Amino acid sequence: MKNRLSATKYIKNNKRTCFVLILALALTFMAMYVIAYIMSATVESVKPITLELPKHIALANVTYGSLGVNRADYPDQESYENAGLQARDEFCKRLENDPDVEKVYFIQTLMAGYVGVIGGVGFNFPLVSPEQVPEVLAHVGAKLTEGRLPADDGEVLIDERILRNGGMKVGDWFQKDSYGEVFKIVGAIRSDGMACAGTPRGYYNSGWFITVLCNENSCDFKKLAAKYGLTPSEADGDVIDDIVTNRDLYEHDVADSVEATVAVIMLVTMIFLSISMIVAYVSFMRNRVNEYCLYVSIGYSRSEIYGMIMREMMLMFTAGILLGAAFSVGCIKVLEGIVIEPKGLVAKVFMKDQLLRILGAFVMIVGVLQIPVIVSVYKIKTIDLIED
Amino acid sequence: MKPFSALYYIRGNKGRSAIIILMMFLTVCIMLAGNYLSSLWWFYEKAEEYGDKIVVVGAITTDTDYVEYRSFYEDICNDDKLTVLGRSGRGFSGLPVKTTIGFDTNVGNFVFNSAADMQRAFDHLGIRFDCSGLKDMDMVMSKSLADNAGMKLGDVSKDKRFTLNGLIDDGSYVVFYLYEEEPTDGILFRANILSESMSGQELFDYLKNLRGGRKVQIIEPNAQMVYREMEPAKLIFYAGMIILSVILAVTLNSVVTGQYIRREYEFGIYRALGISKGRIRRKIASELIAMDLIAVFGGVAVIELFTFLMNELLYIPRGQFLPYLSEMGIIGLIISNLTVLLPMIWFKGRRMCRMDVTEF
Amino acid sequence: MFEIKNISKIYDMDTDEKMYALAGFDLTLPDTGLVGIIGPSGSGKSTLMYCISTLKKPTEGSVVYNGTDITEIPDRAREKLRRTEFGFVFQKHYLVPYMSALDNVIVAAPAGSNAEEKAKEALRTLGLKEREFCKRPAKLSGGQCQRVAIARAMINDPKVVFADEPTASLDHENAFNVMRILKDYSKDRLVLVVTHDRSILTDVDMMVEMWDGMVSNVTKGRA
Repeated sequence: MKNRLSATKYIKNNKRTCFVLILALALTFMAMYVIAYIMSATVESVKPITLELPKHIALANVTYGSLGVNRADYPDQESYENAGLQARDEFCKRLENDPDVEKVYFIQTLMAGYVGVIGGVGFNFPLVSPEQVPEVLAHVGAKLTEGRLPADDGEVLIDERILRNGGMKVGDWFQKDSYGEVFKIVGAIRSDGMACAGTPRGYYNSGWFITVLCNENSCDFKKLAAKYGLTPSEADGDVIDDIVTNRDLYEHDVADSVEATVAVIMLVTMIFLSISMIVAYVSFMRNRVNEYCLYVSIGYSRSEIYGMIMREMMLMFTAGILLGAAFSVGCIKVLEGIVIEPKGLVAKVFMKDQLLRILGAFVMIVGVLQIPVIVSVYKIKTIDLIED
Repeated sequence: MKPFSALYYIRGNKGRSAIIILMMFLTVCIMLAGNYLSSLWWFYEKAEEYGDKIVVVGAITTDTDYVEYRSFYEDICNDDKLTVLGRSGRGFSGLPVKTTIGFDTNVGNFVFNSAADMQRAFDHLGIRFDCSGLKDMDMVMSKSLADNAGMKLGDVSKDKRFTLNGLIDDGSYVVFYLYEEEPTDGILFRANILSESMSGQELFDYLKNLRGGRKVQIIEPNAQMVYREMEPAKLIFYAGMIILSVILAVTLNSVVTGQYIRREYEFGIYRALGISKGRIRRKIASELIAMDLIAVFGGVAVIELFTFLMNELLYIPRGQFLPYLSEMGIIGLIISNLTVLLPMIWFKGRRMCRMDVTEF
Repeated sequence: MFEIKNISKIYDMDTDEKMYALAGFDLTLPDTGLVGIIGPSGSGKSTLMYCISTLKKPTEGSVVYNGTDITEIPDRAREKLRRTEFGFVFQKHYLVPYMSALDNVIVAAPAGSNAEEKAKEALRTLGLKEREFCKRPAKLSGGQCQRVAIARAMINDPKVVFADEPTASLDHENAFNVMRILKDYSKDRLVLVVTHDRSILTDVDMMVEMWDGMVSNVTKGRA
């Protein structure tokens, strides 16, 4: 009985040729994984702001009408305004009595911008009195990592990732291009939700909001308000910035869009790379036709030759995947150091879905390669029938 | 046709040449990818132009009683070089548009206090539209933007404030709001400033000088902000393009190596016939460059046809557009082509001019 | 024409088992005539031909051609020699498979030299018909291919033709025809034929016998 045709002999004796193919596979793996990693930075980076922070702070700007105060019921503007203010204060007190609410303020907020890899989000953070700042920080679980707490008007504490993202540091003016030299960054903080806080200066910064220090049970503002007889609605002019609106933003504007973009990029990349891989492998096989004919001539069957080709292919693909994974890890480490961390972004290193996609793509390439392999094996002749 | 020429080889080896041309065509697909990504920027081209011609200034909340803003406002109204179009009083959010890539982005807007102001602005921007029929809480936009937003004349905006009462044909993605309410203390003051003699950075700098240290915001145009935010996308594209080009260079090199192995004795004979190394290198270079040019020109033609069909059948009806040419696409095409071509010419040239017929 | 002095060619120089393809000898070749170089396989006859035709550089010794030591000249000068004064015929015809017979001959001609006419004339002289000029090597017989190779070798009217086993792949009739062509050409040129088959060297003007890298015998006149 003949020995099984060895899959490693060719690879060992043609290291350069095989390495080219393995390298191409490895780079394919790396390209697909690293592109997904970079795109994930957009999704993962905004997650704390859109999905974590709103679990602790809910903002709402409720109109007098939603509070049950209608202009028509009052003789003049002043009494209408007073009634509105009173209704709002009462509503805030009722909210504060809720067991799942720690505190309710009616305060100014400031908008901060956070730029992901592509696009960005804006979010409002509370501007309270200096005495109230520690309360807010404790509630969101934020720790001071640099600088000091605000002691005067117009001083802010910014999450350290947002600082890096905006190219700011402690001592700078916060988002000077938007606000001028108005809000001084006196400290950096760190929390899971990238929370920020500060003290106001002047009047009407990014809006006045009912600010609720909530928890996971009370972070849905509409549900919370409904418990106290209120039904705020965007259609009536109410502005709500809570877990529901943020989750909606994340899912529809961020995750779905980026997911769609990543899927398109992956599909195009996969088609592109598949074509080049397949052509390269077919050419690689065509150069070995005489070798296969020799095997047939000395007594090996076509199925044995097919088995050898498949084992070689599997070995090279496995080597390509392992090398590609190593390249990806290296590339990700570099990107983390030069782009992700310095920009205060967050990216997912291990992406199970993407790995499965890539493996699926490779399986697809192997599948498509069956066509030229089977055609080649079918065409094998014995040596005497080969034309010179 | 001379037997040593590149086209002779291609004509005599159509099948093999077709494989190489096909793979080089993939580099042209990188141009399509660049055009596709550039379509994001395309939305803001006109907005950038308008933002250069009309500058919006606004009060800052820390300016108590808007003293400094009023002083600045008086200065700009008295300045002969500037035209101030009322106090618009408010800023509104732009409209979300669907990009060709799939996600939404916001486009910019201008707010005017009166139809006369809006007309003046349109005249300055070169937009042909008669604003006399507009009323408070109307909005005007281009047909493309309306198609993209799925709106037609008479429709109301998502926040139910504005009614679409005018369509213009400028291809811009900018919304023009007419909001006649006088600003009150509770609402930030804003003004639109234009100049017959200045625009762009010159106008910005002029206003900044005029402002001095006063607490007045000269608002960055939406387009500039978006361009800045999308810069990383360009870097990602170029990085991805280089990786793909390297992969293509590696795979194409292995294909071409396989083909050139079969031609080793041909080149060995050339050396034996006394044909110089330089001439052999030039032959190889000319063959590969000829195939590349066929791939590039043919590929660009195919891409342009594809783009035309996509625009006519899909994008333009949806108020979107895929550019036919873009800076990113052209740079991508050049870099990917050179990344693929130059190593091949170098390595194959070096190898083939060393062929020795006595070794066969 | 050729003055060969103390020529040797050693392979695997850096190992203990050096291989002496040419072991160091002198040889003088005439200006014209058919010279046969014969010996068993491994005797160094092909190596000798490669060394004197500039395809290989000898390890030691000199090859003086028309007063110039061609082992010392630069690569460009060697290329020029091969292009203008030498012609080669190999055992395998080594025709370019995608070129027609005519183009295979033209490719060896210098640029702008009315190459097409000269090539056609050469092919006609060698017995190929007009309709075969545009055929590719795959469509020609072995003998026809070898004749095209000879035409390619002679298109530049070289002073020296080197033929390495030119008849090894041919049947008897074609082998005889090829030798007849080479003999005709050697009337006013030098033609060197390397072979292990004595039967094709019946009409040579000089016979060089080789054995183990050395010239064992030189015979002038008919073998």
